[in-house]
Amino acid sequence: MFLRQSLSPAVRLKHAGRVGAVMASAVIASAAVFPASAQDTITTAKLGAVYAFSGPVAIYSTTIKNGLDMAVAELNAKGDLKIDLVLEDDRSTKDDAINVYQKFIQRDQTLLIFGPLIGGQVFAAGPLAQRAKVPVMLTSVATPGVTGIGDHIFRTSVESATIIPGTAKAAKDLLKTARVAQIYTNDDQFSVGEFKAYEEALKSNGIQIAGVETVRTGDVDFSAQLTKIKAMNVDTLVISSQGQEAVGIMTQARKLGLDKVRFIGGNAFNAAGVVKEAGAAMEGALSATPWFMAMQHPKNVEFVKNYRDKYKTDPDWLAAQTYDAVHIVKQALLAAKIGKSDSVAVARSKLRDSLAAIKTYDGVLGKIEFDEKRDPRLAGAVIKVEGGKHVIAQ
Amino acid sequence: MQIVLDFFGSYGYLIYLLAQNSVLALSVYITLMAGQLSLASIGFMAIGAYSSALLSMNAGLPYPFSLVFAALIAGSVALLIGGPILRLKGVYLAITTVGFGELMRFIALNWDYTGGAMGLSGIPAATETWHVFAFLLLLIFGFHQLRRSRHGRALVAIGRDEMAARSMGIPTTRYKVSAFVAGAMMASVTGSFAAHHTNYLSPSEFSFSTAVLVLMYAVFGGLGSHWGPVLGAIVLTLLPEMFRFLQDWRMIIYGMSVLIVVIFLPDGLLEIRKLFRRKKDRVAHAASIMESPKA
Amino acid sequence: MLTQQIINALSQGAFYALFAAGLTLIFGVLDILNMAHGAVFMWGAMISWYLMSVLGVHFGFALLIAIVFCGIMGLLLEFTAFRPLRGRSTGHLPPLVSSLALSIVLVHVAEKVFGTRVVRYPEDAVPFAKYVEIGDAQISMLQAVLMLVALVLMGALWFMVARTRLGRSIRALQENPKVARLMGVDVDRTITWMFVIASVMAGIAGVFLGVAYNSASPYMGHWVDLKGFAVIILGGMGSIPGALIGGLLIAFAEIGTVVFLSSDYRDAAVFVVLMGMLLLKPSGLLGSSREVRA
Repeated sequence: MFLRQSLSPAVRLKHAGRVGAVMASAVIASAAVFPASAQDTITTAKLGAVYAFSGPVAIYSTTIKNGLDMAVAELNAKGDLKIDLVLEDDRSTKDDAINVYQKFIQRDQTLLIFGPLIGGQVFAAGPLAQRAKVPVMLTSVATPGVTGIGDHIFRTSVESATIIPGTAKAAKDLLKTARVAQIYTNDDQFSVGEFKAYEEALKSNGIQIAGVETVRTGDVDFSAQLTKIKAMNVDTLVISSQGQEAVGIMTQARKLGLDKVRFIGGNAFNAAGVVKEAGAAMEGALSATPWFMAMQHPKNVEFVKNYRDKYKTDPDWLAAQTYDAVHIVKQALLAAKIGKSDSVAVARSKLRDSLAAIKTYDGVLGKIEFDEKRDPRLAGAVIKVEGGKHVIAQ
Repeated sequence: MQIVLDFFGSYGYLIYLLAQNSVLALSVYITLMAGQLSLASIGFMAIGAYSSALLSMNAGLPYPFSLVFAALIAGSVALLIGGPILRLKGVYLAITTVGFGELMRFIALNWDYTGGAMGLSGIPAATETWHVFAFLLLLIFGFHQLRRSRHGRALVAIGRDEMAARSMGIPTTRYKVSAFVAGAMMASVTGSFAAHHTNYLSPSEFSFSTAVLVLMYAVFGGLGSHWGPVLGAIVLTLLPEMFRFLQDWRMIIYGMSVLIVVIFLPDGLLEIRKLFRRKKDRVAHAASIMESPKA
Repeated sequence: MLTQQIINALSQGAFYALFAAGLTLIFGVLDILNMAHGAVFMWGAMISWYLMSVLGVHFGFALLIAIVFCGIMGLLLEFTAFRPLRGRSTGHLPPLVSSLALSIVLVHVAEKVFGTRVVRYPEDAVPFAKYVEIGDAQISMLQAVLMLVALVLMGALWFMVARTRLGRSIRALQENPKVARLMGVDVDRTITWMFVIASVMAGIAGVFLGVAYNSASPYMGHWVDLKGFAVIILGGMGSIPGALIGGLLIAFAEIGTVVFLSSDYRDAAVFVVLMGMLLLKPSGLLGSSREVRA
């Protein structure tokens, strides 16, 4: 800059370099003092969500979609980072899940993928995301082992094995359960997982298992199995199945004369729809839930109110898990400070690391802690059906 | 080059499925050539998938070996049940083969060794898409040779009129069983490919509806030559993905498309070739169609 | 306990029989595998649910409307999936594919119209809700009515085939379609009637199943299709008494498996019985031996 003519090229270069270095450090210093302005980090984040919106398990996706939509609308109204959510249907099949994952990863270039719905699909499509280094956030999969697929798999859905022991103990303490029969859907991973968790929990509580019967997904006639159970003279029936079979089992059990038998169940029992459809048959039924509509922490109270206003129906634990998941992802996105000039790969990497750094979260589900395998742990509650509604069991 | 790689990267699984479903359709086709309506391919695919997965995982066998072993297991099963089963005809055979498929799925579901409803995960990822395409090309070449060979002509003769073929001295049972075994091994190899491609297996992949779908590939494409099933598989695999933009109308439009095509081209998509034939060829072709096998 | 299980089996058997009766008529006579039968069955149930649950219609009327609706569906089925192919005589594979395609459409339209959930009938609208005790077993009036209805309908069907003009046309068709046409049988009309009757029976089965188990969903036709084919093969293709016996046999085999073996094996029972029958007497219990062996 000065004395240009009087310096040799080599010296001039060294000079320019030194000047450049000074200028650069000035810029960096100012960046540290004045944090990167909003112009430098992204203002929209494209995220993909794939669930089963058609097919037999599509009902579970309804509340999940509501949770997604509501969370995204709320967060986008804040005016900072906007979430651009792309929704796809996978018909709950393995092939479609993989095809959609590829679409999100390669064609839509989303920073993260929500879903799919079912454990089996995650085992098939998850490795794809892991290999492509795209973070995945599951909001409904309670099957054990999914986070083991890799460090890009996250979830807010609690594994059945963590909350079921609570119900078994509560049954023993509150209902004086001593002799049970188990009935479960043996062709559905979710139910098999719950069944095994219950089997363990019952045994460790010293409760006698008089017999085990199985049903299949889609069955409507349970009379043969229930007649057998009637002859076992148990005081409680432990049901591990999806909602529609659970309703059928409970109502048919009452009709076949199993009036005095109590029911304990898993996540299916937590759905308000199930309680409504099972009606009087379900009175007194016990279950453990990661989330309960009447939980009193303020975030939940607000969530339930807003959900009811918007959708004219009650939320369920899937909606709650999804709602919190979106909020967690948003929090991670902000903390990741993804730059506009960052490539998609870098952005995804930053997001993943940011997600992994979130060890606790206080949301609709209450206080969640994420362990080193990114699995959520929370207190949950043991609930009972009383007067056609869920209440805390005591 | 980058464009090709990108395309492949984003549609890779779909492309893989095209090859997989084509091979499956061919495995049904070979039995249809001999007039046998067999829906057993899915059952053999299950045998191939689970056997090779278990061999790779538990016996530590290298991938090509577990593939071949599984195919041998499937072939042996086919040989064993082929004799008694193929004495049946038409829908009786069809339902029996469906029963076989359901039995395989049932075993996979209820046997701890195969993982039950949880399935098998962590299968070593060894299949590349080009493997399946190479296999498909091999089969297409094989079918091409088969058509001209004595074996192939015998199969078609049996397909047209079994009693007449037998009275001509063709050992019908032997040929039918050989077609059945060949189909079984093709399906088994497909299963092994699938298992080592997605690293995860569950019994629900091998259902009755999938078996019928595979038959649909073959019939929709046309049974006049081995190109029919391949064409049918490609079109019917692409359609649901292509129709994705229709959202919840997707499967309705898909079903209607298939219905319309079948009504106008009951002999399959290949029938379009008829439009390009000259008149005298058309007459001859029509004459041969009238004797086509009532499978 | 055994008495109750027998009642359970009789009730299940009645369903299977009612569903299979229509199927055996079509298959036994026309050699067509109608893959859309389950979809019609499902629509019968869904329509009755909609009428009873959303519109508050009484069960009797809902049943009547469902019957008419399913009859029309039968017409639709015949005109779109089967008749266009009949003139081309290309074997029975194309009708299998066309009815399968139509079935896909029907299921997904139901999904769109009624939603994907399993729906329940209103508590007070379920008819014949009383229970009768027999020893330590219970039988609901609804179950009893169903069994009666199944018997009556099948009896009526059998009578129709054996004694009426339409029945004669059907039997002539079964013997030899070409000759039947020459003898003056209006083949097209006869076939149309067959589809209407079969669809009506499927619809009735659907309504009763829905109401008896208090559940209906767009996917309920799926399992019935498979078991339906097993029943008709077991009982003998084209034989209506065979459908009844086949239905009962399978129901007893299934429930027997649950009682004496394990509920795990319930769904395998159908195929074990079927395999056994196919090896011993492939034409089924009451079927004739022709057209079976290769």
